[in-house]
Amino acid sequence: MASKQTRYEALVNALHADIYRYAFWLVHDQHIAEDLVQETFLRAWRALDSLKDEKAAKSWLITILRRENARRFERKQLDMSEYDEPTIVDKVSHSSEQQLEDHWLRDKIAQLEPEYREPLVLQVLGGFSGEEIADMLGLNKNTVMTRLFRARNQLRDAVNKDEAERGRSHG
Amino acid sequence: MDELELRRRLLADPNSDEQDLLDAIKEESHNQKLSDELKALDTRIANALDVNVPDNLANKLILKQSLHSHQQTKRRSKWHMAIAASVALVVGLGVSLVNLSPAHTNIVDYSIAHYHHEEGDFPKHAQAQISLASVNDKLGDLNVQFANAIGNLISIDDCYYDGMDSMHLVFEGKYDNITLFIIPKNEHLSFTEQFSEANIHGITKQYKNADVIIMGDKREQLNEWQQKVDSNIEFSI
Repeated sequence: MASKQTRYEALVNALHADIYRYAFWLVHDQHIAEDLVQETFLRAWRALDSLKDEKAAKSWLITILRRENARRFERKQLDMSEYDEPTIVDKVSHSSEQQLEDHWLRDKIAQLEPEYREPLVLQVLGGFSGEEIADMLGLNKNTVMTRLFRARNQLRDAVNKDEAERGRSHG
Repeated sequence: MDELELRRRLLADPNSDEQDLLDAIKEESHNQKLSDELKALDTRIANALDVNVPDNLANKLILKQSLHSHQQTKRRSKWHMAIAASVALVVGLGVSLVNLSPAHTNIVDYSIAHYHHEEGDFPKHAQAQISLASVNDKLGDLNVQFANAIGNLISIDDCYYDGMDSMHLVFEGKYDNITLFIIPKNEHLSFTEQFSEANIHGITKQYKNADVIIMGDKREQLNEWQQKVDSNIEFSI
């Protein structure tokens, strides 16, 4: 059996990027996201012995991260429920059209209600099934599927509207 | 599958591999179109979600963990030191308490305990003549002295009689040693004039500046010793 240190490093290397991105979409701030990931992995280190199934590592870390984030809210007593002005910081100075589109869509995703955005991030970024997301968020599967539907529906509407507007301005 | 359900399910999960959904997509070209459109949207969503991860995050996480473990070890050793110090302190205090503070409430218990503790430590007979001057010199701390020698002295030494600076004198007796404690006036020990145990007995007397306890074998005439003390003891204050 691998030493705890080896297991930990493997976990970090395999999952830190996914966990960071998930954190970013949870809090919309690079620095807070990074702090949150640090806290999450530190807790993961302490509790590493309780992780029996390596396949469950990602959802385990996400569960820890969500709990850490909830703690952060309790600590700071911040009302972060308003996501009107998401501070999406990204390096998009001289970038391709594709990247500009990503950036535009990123804003739209950030503007989604958190309860719609979170399952979407878990599904698209995390690759989790409806059941797994339901487990992680403590919801039933139907609720999760409804929220996923609404999240995509809103994004699709936004994309279509944008394309229509651009079509008009070009034409 | 009706239009509404298909739309609902595709929007909830465009990459679903549920067979009935896949079949329904194949049936109608506009379903296929919707599926393609949503898959394309998902690719865009995936790209949009794929934000840059800070450089070296993995290394930072590993570093933070090892620093944390290191600190914990340090903290643990500090903690161990603190515990060790506390234990040492408690032991030290305990020893001091045992030695220095009253552990007994009456003169009988303590005298007997002290007697037995040093039983056999003294020879039966005086080996060297201890001068009256040196005896009185020692007794000076208690402001006590003897006008004349009251017997053949085997030993005279300072002792902590229940935490008090006292004198412990051992004389030759007829059968065994006679032990004499001269202790300062105190309030915490209750006084008993006579006491005895299996083989020993003792008498006590309260003088002006000190109390005297005389102990010895049950066959010893302690009263005689008491009288000698009475007639020779002097107090400098």
